[in-house]
Amino acid sequence: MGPQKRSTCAVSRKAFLGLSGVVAGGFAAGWFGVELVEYMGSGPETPWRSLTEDEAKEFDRLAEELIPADEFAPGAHDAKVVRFIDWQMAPGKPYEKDLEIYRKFLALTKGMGAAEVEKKFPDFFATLLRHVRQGYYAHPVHGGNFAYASYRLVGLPGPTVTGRNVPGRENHL
Amino acid sequence: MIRETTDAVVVGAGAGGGCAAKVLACAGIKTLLLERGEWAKTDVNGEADLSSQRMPLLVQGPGRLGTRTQKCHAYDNGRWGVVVPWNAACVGSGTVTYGAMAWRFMEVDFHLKSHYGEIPDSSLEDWPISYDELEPYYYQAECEVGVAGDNTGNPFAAPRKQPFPMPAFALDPESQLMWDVTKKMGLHPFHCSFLRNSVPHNGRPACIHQHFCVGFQCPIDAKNGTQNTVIPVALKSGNCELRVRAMVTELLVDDQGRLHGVKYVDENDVVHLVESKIVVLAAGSNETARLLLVSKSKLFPNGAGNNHDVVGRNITGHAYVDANGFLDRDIHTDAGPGTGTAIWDYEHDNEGFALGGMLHTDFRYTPFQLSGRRNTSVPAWGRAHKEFMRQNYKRFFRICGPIQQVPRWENRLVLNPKQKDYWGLPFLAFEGREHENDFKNRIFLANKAREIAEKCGAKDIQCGWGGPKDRPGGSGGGGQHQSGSCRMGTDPKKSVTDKWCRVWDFPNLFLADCSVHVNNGGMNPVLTGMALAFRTAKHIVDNRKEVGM
Ligand SMILES: Cc1cc2nc3c(=O)[nH]c(=O)nc-3n(C[C@H](O)[C@H](O)[C@H](O)COP(=O)(O)OP(=O)(O)OC[C@H]3O[C@@H](n4cnc5c(N)ncnc54)[C@H](O)[C@@H]3O)c2cc1C
Ligand code: SF4
Repeated sequence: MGPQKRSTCAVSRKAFLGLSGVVAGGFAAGWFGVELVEYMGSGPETPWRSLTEDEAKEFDRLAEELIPADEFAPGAHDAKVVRFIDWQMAPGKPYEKDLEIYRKFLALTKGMGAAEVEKKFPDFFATLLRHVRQGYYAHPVHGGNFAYASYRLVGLPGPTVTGRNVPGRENHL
Repeated sequence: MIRETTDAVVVGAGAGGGCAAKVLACAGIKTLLLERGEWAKTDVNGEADLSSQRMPLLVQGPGRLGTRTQKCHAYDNGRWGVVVPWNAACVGSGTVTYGAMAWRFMEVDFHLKSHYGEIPDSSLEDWPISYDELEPYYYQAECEVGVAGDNTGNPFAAPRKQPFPMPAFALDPESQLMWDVTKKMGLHPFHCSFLRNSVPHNGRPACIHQHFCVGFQCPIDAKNGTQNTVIPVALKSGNCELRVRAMVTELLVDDQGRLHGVKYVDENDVVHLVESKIVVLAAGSNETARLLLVSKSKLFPNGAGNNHDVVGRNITGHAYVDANGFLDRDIHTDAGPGTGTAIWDYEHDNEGFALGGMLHTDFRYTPFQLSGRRNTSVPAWGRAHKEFMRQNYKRFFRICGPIQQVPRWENRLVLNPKQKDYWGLPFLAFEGREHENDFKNRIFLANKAREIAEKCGAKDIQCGWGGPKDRPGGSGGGGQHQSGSCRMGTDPKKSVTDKWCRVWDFPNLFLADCSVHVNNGGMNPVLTGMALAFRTAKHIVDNRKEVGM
């Protein structure tokens, strides 16, 4: 199982409200820290929810080429973009039907660079790029953007307040 | 089957329905508020951008596109397709997640036909009421739901009798830039007004300036929707019962043409027949029209109130235009959510076409949104694209705004004869196309947006013209700003309701949502829908006897 948003929302909210007088219009660093830990979690990703080990590796390789690590922020691999797509293609999930496409093409792209994939399989490449961008730049709750890699890249001060309803509710996004 | 009775049924706990239920219940009328969705929860919806209403790529939350809340199909160039239900299905509906821009329409917006004369191929009409008649109800909405604003500097705004209940928000740097530049251009920048708390209001806190606001439920309840304002007041009165996951499927009209209640299906698929003295439909422009259309009876074989074939016609929404570019320095700070300056200089009386629209700075983009907006010289992926993202996220500059569309008789919602939803009701379909005037309007306004963006120093500007031409009512008629499907008027052959939003031919059937708008303004519509709902509900209370209570 991948790490999940855990159940300290209520505590966090209290912590936040305690600070809110001080930080009106801004963000408390402590707050950022609390939430960040929430999404980092720990432990291995396997077993994958939709991809095979092989497919996950191939996706991961291509994704890292599309969004590589650099001196400023992790790349797609460390941001766990593959986990995003794996989660979203699991049974009943919104991209379930794209699994077929990945199954077909990830078997064909072995050894190719991204540019070659783009040239040979433009439709597949468009889907791949769209999903990799989603996995890297969208909120960690969807499975990728591990530890807010992209938010840190662009200078967004991390998560703000999340949750004020029932603590412990399983995130199902 | 369960039979029950009440005094008033309000269908839909959205913007208009929440306001109407509050007025009825607080006047001692036993009110049943039926909502097909449920309470939205920030824990579920949180900051998940791909399932927010800003960018519902994964799922639509709140008010998910499940079989029970599925909305409609669009007719577009002969193809049927699912329309994403941009307005939510939950308590509060779009008011939970909206951008909360709160405008009163301009005075002229209530009599466009008198102002512009007959426009060929249009169904432009004057409203049966003037701005002055609605003014006190605008103020009621601004106080009871809660609006922050400041019209100083906007000479085009309709006169106010009272100041805004809350002061305007301070400008973010992007809005300050637009303000300074447009001022220098001789235009009239002013503060956007919002259904958001700039100071604590009615027991809820002030906004803490998250990055993102539009599309997301506010985690601290500083954004004012009906779900955290008027609906709780209605419930507290002891006279209003709210039932969620309650899908109204029909108006009960007998063979004599009398309306005596509604039929709804609860979450366990049990059918309820609710006898009620009056019925207030507030299901949103699309669904209100659909409920009237599907409610066929002996005297109304084409649907309730539809003997003149007007229900579903004249739909409008808003086509949006925009100009997007990049500054040579960071402009965004850590405080969101952006958007603060607006101009109404181009709302009316432009050269060469009728009507016009508004321009304003926009809500802060999410990183994913920006990832698709690269500068044309930047590769779409790889190190260079990532570097582009790093350097430009805080430099992105964007101005956008809606145009006021010209309503057309032919732009309408019809029942889809081929497909039925979970409830056995036909889906809606859209027919029609955009008026020629809208196209001119869009090009004009987009060029103005570009001009301002250029003067603000933005480079690599790309303009959006507001989508394909062949879609009625902007985003396919099913968009966030859907309105007009049951317009109010003075002539039963050309309108669905009278000036009190009472459906012609029924003494006890009222509409309290944006469906009654005769035109949709060149600005977001919700405050007008709320004001009308307050006014209609007060009329019902003041005329209990005449309407059958
Ligand atoms: C992301 C987003 C941003 C927006 N931003 C703005 C903004 O900044 N400013 C602005 O003015 N407007 C904005 N809007 C639009 C605004 O929310 C709508 O104009 C407004 O909600 C329409 O009000 P209404 O009363 O007509 O219908 P709604 O508020 O949609 O209410 C209809 C309700 O009826 C329920 N319903 C429908 N059919 C049935 C049925 N058969 N049985 C039971 N219940 C039913 C629905 O679930 C819904 O809750 C935004 C909308 C969205 C989604
Ligand atoms: S910007 Fe303000 S009103 Fe909007 S979600 Fe954040 S705190 Fe709430």
